[in-house]
Amino acid sequence: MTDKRDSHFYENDAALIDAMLEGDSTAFETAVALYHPRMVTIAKAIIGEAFAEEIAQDAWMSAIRSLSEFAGRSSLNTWLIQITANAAKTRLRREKRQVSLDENWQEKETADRFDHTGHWQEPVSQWELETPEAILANDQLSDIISKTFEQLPPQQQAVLSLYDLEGESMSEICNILDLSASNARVLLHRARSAIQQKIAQYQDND
Amino acid sequence: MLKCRQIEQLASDYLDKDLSFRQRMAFKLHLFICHNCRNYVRQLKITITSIKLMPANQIIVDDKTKALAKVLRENASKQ
Ligand SMILES: [Zn+2]
Repeated sequence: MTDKRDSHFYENDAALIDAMLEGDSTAFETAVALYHPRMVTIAKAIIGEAFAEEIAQDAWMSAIRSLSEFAGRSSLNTWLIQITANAAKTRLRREKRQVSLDENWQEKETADRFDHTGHWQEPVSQWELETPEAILANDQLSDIISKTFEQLPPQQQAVLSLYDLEGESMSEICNILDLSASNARVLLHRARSAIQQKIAQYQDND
Repeated sequence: MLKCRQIEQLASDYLDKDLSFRQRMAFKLHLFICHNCRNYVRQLKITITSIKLMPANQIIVDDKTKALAKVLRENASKQ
C-alpha cells in the first residue's frame, strides 16, 4: 500500500527526531520517505548503482544509533547526507576499484545544438510561459521537470539537489561528493541544461 | 569573441556570478549582439528558478519505505 503524506507533518527536525526517539512509527516512515531517496542518490553519485541501496541502509543504521546525540548542529538532511557520503567513500576505498559513473551521458546529451562555426543550429525562441510560476502551474511541464530530474545521472542529480534545492555551497558539495570544483560546476550545468532542453521542447511544440 | 557554443557552456557560471571580470564582460558583449543567446540565458534562468521552486510538499510512503522504517524502529528500540 502506498500513501501520500504532507512532508511538513512534523514542524521541524527536532519534532521529527523526538517522535523517532519515542518509537513513533509514523515518524520513522516520514523520515525514510523524506531522506532515503536523497541518501541513495548521494551514494550512487559516489560509488555507483550497485552498492547504493545497501550503503544508504547502513547509513540509516548508524544514524539511528547516534540519533539521541544528534544535537542539531546541522539540519537532519545534511547530517544524514554526510553519514551516507562517508560510508560510500569508505566502501569505495575498500572495493579498491574505480566505479564508473555516468558513462553514457556525454554522447546522449550533446546531440549538437551548434553548427561547425559555433552558432546555434536552430533559433532560440522566447518562451510563451515566461515565469517559473507559469511553468510550474502547468501540470504537464511540472511533471516533465520532476521526471527529468529523477532520470538525471546520479552525479548530476546529486549536485543539482545539493546546490539548487538545498542551497549548499560549492565547496561543501565538492567535499561531500569528492569532486573537483570545475567538475562539480560542469555537472551542475549539465543537469540544469537537461531540464531546460525538456522545457524548451515542450514550449516549442505547443 | 565568444561563440554561442561557449556562451551555452558558461551560462550557469554567469548566472551564479562565478565568472571573472573579463569573462563576464566578454559574455555580456556577446549577449548584446546575439538574440539567440539572450533568449537562451533567459530560458536557463527561468529553468533554475523553476527547479528551486519545485514543489516538495508530498512524500510517498510505499511498502519499501514502510519496511525499512520498521527495521530501523525495531533497531532503535533495542538500544
Ligand atoms: Zn550567441
